[in-house]
Amino acid sequence: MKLIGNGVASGTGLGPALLLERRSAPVFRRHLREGALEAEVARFHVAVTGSGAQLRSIRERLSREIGESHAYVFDAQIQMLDDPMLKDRVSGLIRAQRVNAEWALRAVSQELHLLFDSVVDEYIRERRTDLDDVVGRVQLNLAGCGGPAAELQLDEDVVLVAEELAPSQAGELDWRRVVAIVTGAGSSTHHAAILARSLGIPAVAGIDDATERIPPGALVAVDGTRGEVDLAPHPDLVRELRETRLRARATPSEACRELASVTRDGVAVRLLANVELPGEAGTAARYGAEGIGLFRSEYLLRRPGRWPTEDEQVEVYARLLRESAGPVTIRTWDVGPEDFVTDGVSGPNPALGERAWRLLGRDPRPFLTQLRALLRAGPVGALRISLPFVGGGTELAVALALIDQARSELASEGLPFAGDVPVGLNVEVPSAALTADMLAPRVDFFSVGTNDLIQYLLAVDRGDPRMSGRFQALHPAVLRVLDGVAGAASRAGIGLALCGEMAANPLHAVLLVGLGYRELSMTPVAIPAVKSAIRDVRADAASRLARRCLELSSAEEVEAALRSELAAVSTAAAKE
Amino acid sequence: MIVREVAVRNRLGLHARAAARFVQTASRFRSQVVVVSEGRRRDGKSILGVLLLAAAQGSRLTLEVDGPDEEKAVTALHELVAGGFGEET
Repeated sequence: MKLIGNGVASGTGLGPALLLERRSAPVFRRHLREGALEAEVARFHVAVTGSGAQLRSIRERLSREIGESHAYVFDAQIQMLDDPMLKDRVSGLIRAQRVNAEWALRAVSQELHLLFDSVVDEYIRERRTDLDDVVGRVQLNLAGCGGPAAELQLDEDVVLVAEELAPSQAGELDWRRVVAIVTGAGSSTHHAAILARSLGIPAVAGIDDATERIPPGALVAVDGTRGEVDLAPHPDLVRELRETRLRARATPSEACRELASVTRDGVAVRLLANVELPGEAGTAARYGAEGIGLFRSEYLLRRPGRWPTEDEQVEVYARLLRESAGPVTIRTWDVGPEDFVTDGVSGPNPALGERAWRLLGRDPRPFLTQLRALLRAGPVGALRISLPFVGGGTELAVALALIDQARSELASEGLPFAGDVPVGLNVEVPSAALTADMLAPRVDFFSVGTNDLIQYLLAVDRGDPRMSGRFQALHPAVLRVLDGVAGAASRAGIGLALCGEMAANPLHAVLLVGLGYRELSMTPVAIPAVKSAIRDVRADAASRLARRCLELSSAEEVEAALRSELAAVSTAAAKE
Repeated sequence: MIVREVAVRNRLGLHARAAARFVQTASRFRSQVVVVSEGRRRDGKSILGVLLLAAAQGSRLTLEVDGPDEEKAVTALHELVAGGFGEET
């Protein structure tokens, strides 16, 4: 049986399900005698102090291992611990009602809940979950099972299943043993999803009642790309996933990182990383990324309408350039009206509505500020700017004119900047893809965004789990368009790159090499497997294979042709 | 006691990050800090209290600071809020 949710971090994982329930100690009301009250208050304070030490240690560990951007959640939690509305109120209740600390803490947390519920601002209302996390931790410390902030020790690989992964639980896990994450709550912008992506762990969110529907210890297969959790994986799939895992183990990324990404006939295929957080450049390099092929800059927006300032952006972009192993392509704001203004309302169909450059008419400033920041960061390294969601020549002209304006403003202000930063087009709207030959002479490179391109070409919403089987990267229409775009780039003599989940699939990556793509950008964790597939094939053979695939009339036939060809190739490679 | 009014200028208002900075700053001083917004009075050294004010951009805060270092405290807090917490306004 398969459970369908949202794939929020790509990749596959297989293992026994470990159900992570929010550990909670039962709360009883005890009546205390007068003489015991001060000791009870002191016991509460000890639990608060212990909780504070644990949170600081989690904060420190996360900030070291994953980056400062995930650590700030804990600053607010640490402040909450010492908050008079919590700490003094609980102490007061212990004394006034002569009750035990657990009971008083629960009563106060319920009072605070009521206060949070009355707030209209949804973002502030959500801080309740931080409060619950803090209160839960103090309760555990009171029960004597808070313990030091030791990692939850795991002695085998597991698939982690939780209704919701609280930040402090996440901070205590031994992530090396987690092969996949399944959560009930959460979308791709949820804290757990962002964490999973930066750690390279596949994740599926939005499985309602996950901890009730998945039996503890059951062997489950998780596909974070499709958003599927298979509760009874077919033995063939189990074998395949085990082998993948073993290969990943047997090829430590240390060794893999040193290997060149070249085909057997010596054609270099540059493998780059898709990145959402500035701190991920280091992770990407560890997986062997030769640079960053896509930085989704809109992740810098923490809340709608909160645009980072020009100087803040210069700093982020410069850091990416410094920490990346090679060139960095930064995609300009790919936002919708709901990101654009605080009270923005998206149209009836956001995927086909006002997005990215289409919002320029509302307010050009955020776009201009970003372009200025990009040009100013340019001198730090090999920066490239890519323009998302451009449908044709008119939109492209508007975007290019704004870049010219940014250049001339910076020049007249005498600020240092790089005027020659390459500017490319994200080919993801079919109208741009089909007129690629007309657009190519006006840009320095194409970066094909397959996630959106496939969705628009096939009229399949990739966020809709019911459509997951129809989202076919190998559909003949997709192959034709990819071939056409590659041809247009090559005839115009401009750069050609591809970013999207398609590049992360070794089978598809070989086909892309055959179609002439020499730069693939993907989630960092996929790089070792794609590299090994590329090292197994010859570029000339891949090209012949791609020509044959272009003649086939269904995605299933293309997939079968790829599989049989590659099976033959790897047998041949093994014999050598 | 010093009483001073200040308008919230940053676009997001007193959300989590701004509230945390407010509390951090208030806690540096020995004086008592009370924040009043739309008739609600909250302890300025309480993250929960300041968050629950849910003061949006444009709302007016009254700072009531009382204690040995009230002058310095009110100046620092006024500067922080009026400066939009160093965020976009």
